[in-house]
Amino acid sequence: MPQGASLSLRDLEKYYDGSGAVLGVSLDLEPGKFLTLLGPSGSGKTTTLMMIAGFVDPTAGEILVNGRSVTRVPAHKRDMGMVFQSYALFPHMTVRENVGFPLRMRGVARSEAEDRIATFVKLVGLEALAKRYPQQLSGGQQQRVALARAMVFSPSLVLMDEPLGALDRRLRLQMQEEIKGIQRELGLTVIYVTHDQEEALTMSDVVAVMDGGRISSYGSPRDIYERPQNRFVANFIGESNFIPCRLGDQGEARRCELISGHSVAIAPTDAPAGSSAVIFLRPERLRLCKADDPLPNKVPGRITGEIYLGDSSLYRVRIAEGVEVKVKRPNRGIGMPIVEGDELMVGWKTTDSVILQT
Amino acid sequence: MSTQRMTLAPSRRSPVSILLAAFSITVLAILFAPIVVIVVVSFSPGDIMEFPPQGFSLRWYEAYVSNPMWMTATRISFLVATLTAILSLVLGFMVSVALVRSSFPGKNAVRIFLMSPLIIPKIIIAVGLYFLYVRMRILGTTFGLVAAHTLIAMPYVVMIISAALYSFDRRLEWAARGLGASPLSALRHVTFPMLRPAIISAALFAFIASFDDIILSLFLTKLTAPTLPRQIWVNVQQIIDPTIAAVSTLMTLISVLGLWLVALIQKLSSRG
Repeated sequence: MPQGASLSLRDLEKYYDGSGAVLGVSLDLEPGKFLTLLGPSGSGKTTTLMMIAGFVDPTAGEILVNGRSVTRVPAHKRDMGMVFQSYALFPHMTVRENVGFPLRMRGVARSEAEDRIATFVKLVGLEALAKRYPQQLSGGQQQRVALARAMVFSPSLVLMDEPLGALDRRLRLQMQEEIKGIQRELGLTVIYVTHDQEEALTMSDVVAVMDGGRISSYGSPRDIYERPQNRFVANFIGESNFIPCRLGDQGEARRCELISGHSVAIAPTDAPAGSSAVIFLRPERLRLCKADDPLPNKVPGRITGEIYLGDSSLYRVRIAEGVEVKVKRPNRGIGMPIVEGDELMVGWKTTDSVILQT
Repeated sequence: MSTQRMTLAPSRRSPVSILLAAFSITVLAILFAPIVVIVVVSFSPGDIMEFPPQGFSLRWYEAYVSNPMWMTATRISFLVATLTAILSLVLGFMVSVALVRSSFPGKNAVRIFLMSPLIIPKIIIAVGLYFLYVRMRILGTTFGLVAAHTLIAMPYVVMIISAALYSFDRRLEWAARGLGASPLSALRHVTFPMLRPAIISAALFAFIASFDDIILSLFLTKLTAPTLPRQIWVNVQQIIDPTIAAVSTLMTLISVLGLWLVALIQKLSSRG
């Protein structure tokens, strides 16, 4: 039974002096889910979060928590826990006092407050440091305090604004796991803002990719990554290949023609015959193979470069005049060695491709 | 290497630095000489101001404490300085919030207007207020003097509080409100405690600005209810006895203590 609430946004808009920061955002999130607003800076993700929190008044639209509108409820009565990138810990209070702050503001009885503080300080692993001041803690520890403080009062929603942005990579990965673990354990509804696509994919139940003040794509991390709905999303998340093509006739086994003249099978799409489109393929879904490989789609190419990544290598392969694709190949130490200048086939399964209209 | 270092940092005993040190010491000596003389004279046992004094006594401090005229002036000075500190702090804080956190037409004009008492000669402010107070019938009242001192204390308060507000991370207030604090509780539990060093500094500066003032006091107080500086002024014109030296020493001590407190607070808060 999740303790978090459900969240719905209805045509949420925010204009600053006539220019739009958020242009009609709508979504429905079930209780206990982890939603990430992902997008480049200026996409409106932080403004959306600030409107949910109540720090920014929407120009139009509704915010509903458990089906009840909170659009005109002031921030301190919204019952939401907020975690900032800058931690925003109160420097004049100890760890315990920081974590206890929301309880004190709510007039929670002392004994109950003590219990809750102890529970949450322990949950984030800071029992030994409970009497320290924020300045005496490392960045990771400070963020743990901020997390405990945002959760201690069982808020309806926990809002996080790039909470791990200031931490180094190793710590970030560790904190991602911890946050995810706590969120699952307590059944919290979390709205998480980040521009880090990896973070969005690993932590979220639902990802909303934002672009220019709108939700450009909404779905599970797997859907967003493997079946992007448009070129912006495909480009923004992960490495992508876009192979220009002209679509063939509609039908069961639809095909399209590449610039090089090769014909390949494509997944079903409504796009009309003869229109130009791009075939979207992830580098790790492409394979370098020989002409006799059983893969259904193969086009010849020449290796023009290699980027060594440790666990894998990224090859650049030219498959037509002006068309290069990236192919990711795990370094398992098996199979043929590949060097620049090799003439090979690039192959893929039809179901791994997505047709995006241009 | 060593020759390079020599050219970059000239030896401490070069003629230039000796000259500079001599000059600095001279300036400091000239600045401090009057204070030293006053302090020394205040402990003299004789009936007249003499330097160096012929011994040591506290009789002029006793004279100060036992004289109701001096005590009245002291009480008035403390009262006015305290009220000035409170009033300029309340007004200055509100003005600073408006100046730092909101934008309105003429904001810069307001800022400059508030700073103007620092630039305009005090005598002009004094004359202006004198005629205004005559019309308003508040000449010689405690309120009138407090209002005038608030005017000259405001620039210090606004400067100190504005600077602190500029560097204050507003996300802390947001965090507090997000965690359930009403705007007022956020102010009380987060903003005020964090601005405490600035608030205390501002209050001390305002207190000293009022406590040290003579020009406004000369114009705006009654002869029967003078401030300490005005009482000194009056005494100097009538009888010159070492009581003035004792009073001046105490006044200097209070100002120095105030500034020392400000420095201490700043040191503590920057370490915090």
